[in-house]
Amino acid sequence: MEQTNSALSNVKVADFSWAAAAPITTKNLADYGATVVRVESRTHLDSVRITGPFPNDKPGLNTSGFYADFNCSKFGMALNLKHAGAADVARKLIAWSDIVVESFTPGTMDRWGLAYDDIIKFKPDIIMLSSSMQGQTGPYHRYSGYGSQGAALAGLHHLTGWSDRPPAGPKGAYTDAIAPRYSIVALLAALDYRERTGEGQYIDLSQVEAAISGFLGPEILDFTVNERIAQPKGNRSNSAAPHGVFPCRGEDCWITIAVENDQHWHALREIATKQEWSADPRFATFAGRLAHQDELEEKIASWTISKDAFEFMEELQAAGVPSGVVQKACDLFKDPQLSARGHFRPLDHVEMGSLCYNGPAHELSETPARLRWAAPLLGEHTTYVLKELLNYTDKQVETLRAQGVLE
Amino acid sequence: MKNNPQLLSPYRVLDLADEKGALCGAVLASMGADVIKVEPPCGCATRRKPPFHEDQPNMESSLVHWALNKNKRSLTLALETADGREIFEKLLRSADFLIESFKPGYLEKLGFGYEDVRRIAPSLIYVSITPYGHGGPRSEWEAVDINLQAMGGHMYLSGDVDRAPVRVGLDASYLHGGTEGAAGAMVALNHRRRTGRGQHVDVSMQQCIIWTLLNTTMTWQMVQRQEMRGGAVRKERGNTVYTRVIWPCRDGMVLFIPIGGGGGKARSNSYLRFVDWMRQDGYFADCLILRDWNNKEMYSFSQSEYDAVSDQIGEFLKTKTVSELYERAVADRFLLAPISTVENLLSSPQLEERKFFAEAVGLELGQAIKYPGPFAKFSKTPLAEARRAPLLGEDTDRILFELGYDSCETIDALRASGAV
Repeated sequence: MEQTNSALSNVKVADFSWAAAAPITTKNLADYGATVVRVESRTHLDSVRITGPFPNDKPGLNTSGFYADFNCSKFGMALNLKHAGAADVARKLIAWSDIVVESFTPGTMDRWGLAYDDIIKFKPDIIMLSSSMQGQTGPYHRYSGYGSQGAALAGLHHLTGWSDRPPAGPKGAYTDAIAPRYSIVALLAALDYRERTGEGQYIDLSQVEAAISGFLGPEILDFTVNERIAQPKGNRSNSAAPHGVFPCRGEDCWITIAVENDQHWHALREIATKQEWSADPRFATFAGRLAHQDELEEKIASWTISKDAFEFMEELQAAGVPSGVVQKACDLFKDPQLSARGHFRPLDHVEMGSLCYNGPAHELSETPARLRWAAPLLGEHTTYVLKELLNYTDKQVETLRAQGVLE
Repeated sequence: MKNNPQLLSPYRVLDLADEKGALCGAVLASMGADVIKVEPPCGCATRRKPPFHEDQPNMESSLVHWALNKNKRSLTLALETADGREIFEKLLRSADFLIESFKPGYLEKLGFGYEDVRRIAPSLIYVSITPYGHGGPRSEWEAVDINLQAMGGHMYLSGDVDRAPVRVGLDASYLHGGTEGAAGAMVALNHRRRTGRGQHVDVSMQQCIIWTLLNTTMTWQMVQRQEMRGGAVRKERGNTVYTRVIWPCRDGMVLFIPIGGGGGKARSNSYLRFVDWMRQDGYFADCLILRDWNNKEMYSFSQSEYDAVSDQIGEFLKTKTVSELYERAVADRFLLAPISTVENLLSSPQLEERKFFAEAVGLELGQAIKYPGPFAKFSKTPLAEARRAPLLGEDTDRILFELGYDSCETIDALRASGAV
């Protein structure tokens, strides 16, 4: 048996992905030791390379923090896929790999002769994942979009916000946060299957379907079973009261408190003994708290508004009340739990200096993730990949460069 | 369908998770793993979560249970009893994965913490899905979903500026925790195949929520700009101005980020095509092309310049229906999407053509019920059809029999003692 402390050091990935969802997938694989070669093009830049934040708000090809966070630990190769000679290089890279990941608008890989059916002619056991907004088939398969559209299409926007306002929606490209974990599962389960049977396969992942499949099950069933269309509830819950966000001292400071059962309620009362409402018999049962939640929330808010959110959270936790501060980005970097878990990991980048990157949201005891290096500059490892991984000679590399195949 | 090869058919999963981690086992079950839901004799907490079938709460009617425990088997087991422990140890030796979402320390007290289980079954992959992960000062803190959406930083960024922050309207932290656990389990499986060794996959739901922020943490580090929450109108993606994301149209609402959203050529080309459409319909105005909004001048336009464009676009959108806009968005590749309700999903031509929704198998209700479909389409190993969630203890006898408890008397005695 092989001795290794890197979980995926046997896995080789030809990464034709771009934007967020698929690059996040391959970043996670790379952080666990997979060799990932990200193929990019200067003539059609990854949209995330040109999306901020940038240092001093000055856009630069190699300095997007958005790109950086999702592409660390990968090799970067720049190839002009519109050049006739590029397809041959791409094929050699694919022949070297176990896994191909791509996330172009459906049909793009076909135009380069790199569709799954083309690939299996020279690499029959390849595992290929196409990650797209709505899948590779169907009337809307050519629909182009980012994850915020995915969240709206999947029904997440409609459920998020206040019943008397237009939907607030989650922040940003939310399905980009859902699809990657499914993609990792799909790829590594397919790899295990290939190791058992010798067979590769093609995986068509629609971000919208992945989100509905796992995240909207109860809401879908509530419609198909009870004919009820789920509506936004603000911060309220059908099974807990109070359940909401309450103001604290300072500008835009808030705390969440959730009372799921009578035990939580008694715990909350213990630290609110001086508050008249804590002894009000109308609030003694869940049904009573639910029926009078407008009033109860108001009373709690007038109690919490004088409290320091973080001190108050400690007090609530000591009593056993589910609670948590509404943390801002700056708070995350001071969070003692996150620092104990080592969530943010500093990496040095030649143009951006040292920044904290996101480590995975889970840790493995035997083969911990290791963020190996900062995101590649555009084409940083082109020569390395060609020579060291694909066995090109110096002369061949020079020729490709002279022909304009490499960028 | 039964004979289709399955991705994970050789593997057995012991699923002790409540709703906080149940999606993990559901994902593995959809790939053909034998997922045994190990429940206390009084039933798993997920069974008590609303909504319920016909709004009648009982142990078998929770739709959260139906959704998150589909394709699993159910075994009731009292882990605190001597017989229960013996059965569980046998199960551990027969299993490849264990999934749990107890408060850290609980299984340790019962003698089934990761270190204990590792001695019993060294090749087992042990997945813990908890609010703050194991270890660290807050691992035993009380938390439900809303607390984790807050502590992970997403909540601050969602909601209207003149109101309190608002949570994503489903138990996002639990669901992300479940998929993260499944991803970690598959990474660990790859390692096990090469080394024979299992390990502990330790998921933090708070950290899962941080992963939903995308560029928020880099924005803070690089330009010290605190992203502001926003609803229909918001400031994000490192933008310096508020931009409109949700637009009213003739018969509903759409999401559309015409300018100021990043996204490179896809967004700038989308915008040009959209302006052409406005021009054809007589809604052109000079302000629409005043700046190179989506490229060089992405960070240099003012709020009033943006607002002029936004007003003009808003007037135009009010003349169109959601479906006109969506059809045009597909054809002309605008970055625009309808705000779907659950009802819209069930009538989506795209999901219909891909046969995404399918009736569950095994339902005894005399009613055909559609379930959401697979998370991906696999060419060789399609995911399992949805098999309804198990009744409490439905498979207890069968599983005990498989473990070698092969006489009715033995099983009756276990039942009488309260072990199962």
